Amino acid sequence: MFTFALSADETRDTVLSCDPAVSETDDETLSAFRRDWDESALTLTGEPTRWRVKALTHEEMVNAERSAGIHRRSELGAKLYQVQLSFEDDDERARWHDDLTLRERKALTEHVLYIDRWMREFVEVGVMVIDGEGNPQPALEAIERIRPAHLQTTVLTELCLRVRMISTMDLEKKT
Amino acid sequence: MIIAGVWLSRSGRAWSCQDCDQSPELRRRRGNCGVEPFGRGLSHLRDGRVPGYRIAPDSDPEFAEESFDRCPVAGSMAFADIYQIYRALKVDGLTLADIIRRPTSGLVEALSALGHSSRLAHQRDMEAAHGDPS
Repeated sequence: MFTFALSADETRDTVLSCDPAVSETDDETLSAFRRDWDESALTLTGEPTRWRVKALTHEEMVNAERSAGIHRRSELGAKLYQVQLSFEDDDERARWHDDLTLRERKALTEHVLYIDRWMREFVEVGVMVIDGEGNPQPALEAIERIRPAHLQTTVLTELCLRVRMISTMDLEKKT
Repeated sequence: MIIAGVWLSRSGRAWSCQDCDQSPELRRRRGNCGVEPFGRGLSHLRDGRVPGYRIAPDSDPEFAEESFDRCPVAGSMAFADIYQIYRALKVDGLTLADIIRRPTSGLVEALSALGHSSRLAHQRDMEAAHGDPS
């Protein structure tokens, strides 16, 4: 609760729950860490990468969405993307995807690309990575060097959630 | 939680949590209430949550539809900074830029929610003053 910052000049340093250095931490603790950012409960097996997350103004958030192409994105793709996320079973999701028409598949792919651009815009404005000497550096370049490459999306997703968390009221916690 | 501050202050009484009543130590720590101590022993708990109208009787229906899984008094205390900013904007006539040079999206959203609920609370007061307590 009340995790967002008041000023867009505020920053917070953090590690990510998907960092290999915290992989021996149990799922429940990792889940709590994603909510409260309390690193003391994590089990570390090495030196995790540290990230500096900045809160965004409303204008910065809107600009990031606009640069990613929110006004050109496919509404059909957005709807299909939500449906895709609702599947818990991979097999079911694959069968659902197989039944889509070519037009629907194209719309879905376009939306996935929009989400990827949106995450990159968000991270570019709101995140720095702390290098070995303790200096903040542009995060996107560091993310693009992550191997295996599929982990880049996981890192981007978690960083975006963190930027949102300190920039906006957490909708689920409003009640 | 931030809206709770508006309706709690209007209702003229604070939330009474049995656990806190029985344990002064817990009351002092109320800012850190978790789901367990908050929910235990509360008769009007529904699926681990308490409806808003129990906390602030005669609140606006919009607030009554909200529900809580942790102490709303502690929650609204956590927003003390934002209430002060809201007060400075409404009473002292300052602008947001006078107080915070680059406000976050969350702060703007919180002030907007406070403004909306305060208007509803004022409306309830007017209705009550004119004999329409519904």
